Amino acid sequence: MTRGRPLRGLFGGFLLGICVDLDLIFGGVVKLDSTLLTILPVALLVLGLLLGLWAPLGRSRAAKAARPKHVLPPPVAWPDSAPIEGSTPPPPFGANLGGETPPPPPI
Amino acid sequence: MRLIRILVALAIAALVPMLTATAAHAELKGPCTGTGRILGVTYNPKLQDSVVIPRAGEVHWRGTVTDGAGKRPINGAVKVKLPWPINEITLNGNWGKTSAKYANAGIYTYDLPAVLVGPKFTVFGSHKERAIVCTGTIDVQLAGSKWKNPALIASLLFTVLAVINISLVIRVKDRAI
Repeated sequence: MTRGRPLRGLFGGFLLGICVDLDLIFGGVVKLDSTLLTILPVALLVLGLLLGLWAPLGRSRAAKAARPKHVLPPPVAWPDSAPIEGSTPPPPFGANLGGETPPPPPI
Repeated sequence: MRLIRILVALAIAALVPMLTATAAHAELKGPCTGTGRILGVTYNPKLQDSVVIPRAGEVHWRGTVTDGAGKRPINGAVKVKLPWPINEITLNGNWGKTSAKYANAGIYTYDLPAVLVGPKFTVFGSHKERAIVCTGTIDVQLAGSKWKNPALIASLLFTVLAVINISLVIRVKDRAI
């Protein structure tokens, strides 16, 4: 399964090559008839494709995100006050008031 | 992954020498002479490899063929060399007719835009007649600060955007679990 963006890398590399070409020309770094100006966009096109396929950035973060989270929580001790099997369950809240409305809580 | 790393290393190793390669020297081959004078300064491809000329001015040009006599067909041009696939463009100077002259001179007035300040042009000239072939090249740059060239500023900005784009492109895709 492809994990990167090879097509975007291809076009991105070519675009970068054209921009670097223009920098070299207008900066007067190379002569206008230099072969480098022809090679650079093609080389960066290939480099962009390969880097797009490889996608080296963000691998560790993606690996963490892809890791399944089905690990169980750590076990805890059963509390003493908790009902156990065969015991009588506690009455529901307000059952011991004989049907009267419970007093309002103190303010 | 190992193959990709090797390919990247090879690409870098191939590009660095090309970036640091020295420029070819100017020259004038054949039994000809050719000079240009701009604002009192004379430029000669036999003596100079590269020249810096004003952005606007008048070129007082002169060319001679040292051998030969009589009327004969001649052919020649002055061109600027460009990278593939354009290769070259002919400037305002080409000739292809019969002539009895063995020397010629004239004035060529030019006024070039600011976006051409900075690039190094290779100007190439040739002249052919009978058994004579003369060729000459010289590197020409326009005088002025390249940092005032709007095209350089724009291209640097676009390069920054292109680098940001590449850094986003080479990130691994987020996958739904």
